[in-house]
Amino acid sequence: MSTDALTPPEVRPQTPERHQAVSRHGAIRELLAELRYAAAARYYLWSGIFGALVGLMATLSLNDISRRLVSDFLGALTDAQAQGIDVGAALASAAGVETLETGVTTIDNPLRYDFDRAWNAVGMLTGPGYAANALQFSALIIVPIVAVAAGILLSVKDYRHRTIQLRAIRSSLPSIHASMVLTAASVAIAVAVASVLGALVTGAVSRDATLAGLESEFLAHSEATITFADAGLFLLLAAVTALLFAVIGVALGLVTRSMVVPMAVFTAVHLAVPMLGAWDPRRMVATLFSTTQRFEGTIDVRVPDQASLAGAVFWLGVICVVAWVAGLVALRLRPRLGAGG
Amino acid sequence: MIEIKDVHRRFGSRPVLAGASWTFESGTVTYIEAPNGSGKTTLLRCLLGLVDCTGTITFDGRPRSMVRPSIAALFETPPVHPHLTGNQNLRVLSGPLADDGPLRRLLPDASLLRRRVAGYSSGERKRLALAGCLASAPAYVFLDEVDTGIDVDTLDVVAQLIDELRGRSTVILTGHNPDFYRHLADDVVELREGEIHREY
Repeated sequence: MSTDALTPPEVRPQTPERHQAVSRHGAIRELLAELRYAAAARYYLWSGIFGALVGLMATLSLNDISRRLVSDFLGALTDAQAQGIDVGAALASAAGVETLETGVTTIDNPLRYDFDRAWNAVGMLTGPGYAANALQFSALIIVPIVAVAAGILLSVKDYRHRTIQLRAIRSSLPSIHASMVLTAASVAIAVAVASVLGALVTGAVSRDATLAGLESEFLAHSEATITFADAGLFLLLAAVTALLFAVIGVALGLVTRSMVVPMAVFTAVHLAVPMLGAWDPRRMVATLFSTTQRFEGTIDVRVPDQASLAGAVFWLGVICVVAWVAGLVALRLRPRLGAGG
Repeated sequence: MIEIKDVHRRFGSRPVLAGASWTFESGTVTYIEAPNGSGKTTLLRCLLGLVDCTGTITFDGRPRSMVRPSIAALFETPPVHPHLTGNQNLRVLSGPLADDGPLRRLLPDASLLRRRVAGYSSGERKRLALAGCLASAPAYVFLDEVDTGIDVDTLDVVAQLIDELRGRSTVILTGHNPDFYRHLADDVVELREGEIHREY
């Protein structure tokens, strides 16, 4: 035995007042503990890497699309000039797009239509444009998936490793579960933030090369259509989405408290949701974004045939409440708070 | 002081605690002795709020919800995150250490704390969990079979740590090593047929 073992410890005196003061901040302490766990278990590291890759891919994709659309327009412009079409008049008048009952789409002014698409695309090649483009992808698709997966993992881990008993002794279960939800949401938001950073860095590096091949006359007429306020709105909505889906993820974890079953259920649900039509939760999220986004046209990932905004919010809320109630019922029926015996 | 009055708990039709009542005096170490299946762990779980039970349980006259941060407990299976290091486990599960004495004495090898817990032996896990348990300098300490899986030298340290809790914490011990626990305890009680009796 080392001599250290014989050294009496220096112990701070315990007072009821001190413990009551700590108790008042129990929810914050649980949140900090959960955040510490997520950091130690490298949730944020992987979220950052994943998000940065998403931003990289989204930006490179946007660059390619923009170049292609400008190239298409310039090709159409050359053809129109060769055919003796009054290019100035065509570009000065608006383009009308009509979809017939047969499903065929007609465009009465193709040159102006191509110009608008290219103009919008080049207008996206700015910092806010890159950010908004990355967020459209990460917030709509990645954030909900990451929030659910992180919620499941965070809620399951304490029951699996029996650490829930330590936490349930020192804090109330609602504060513990709330800390899980907020942490899962923060992990998902980290993906969105990292995708923005990745997009901005990639955009800054690649923008000049992308614009270099474009005609200067065209660029002179193009301007930014997206602002950082638009990107900020996307980030805010990504945060709301993350929170809603984190609730579902934690609840799913609480229902089973094992990893295999909720993952299987989540996968099955994810595969089955296309059959839900207007009830598809992804469609509801898409509605939230499309209703608030200001720009339209070139880079448009909106899902057609969406539910209304109010309907989307309502049904997502209902799904969260139902999932949470199911989690509470499961906890009540089978607490599994870790202690043996 | 921990006071329990008329505590009942059933598993199906089988009563495990049948009107258990006792007062665990402040600053004392109490050993609850009972054979397997008699409800020792269930009693601790009731005291800690991990299972529902009827009856009255107060900590220095206050309900458990008022003194939660002052309570520390360790059951037979140590709760740790195996994929984190020892240091990370302490930060996540215990937060800032109010008292690092138990840690220095139970795990004097600092390099061990930098390793993932998945590579720990069961005894090392228990030492880590116990260090985390006592790190908050708790006022109420519940230790269920704390001697299990711990080597003789470390058991001396554990005994010393429990001894040092006397006077400042209310400690309740359960286990199946009477020689170890009786030596430490100020009070020895027996859980028999769902009730607590003083052992003479």
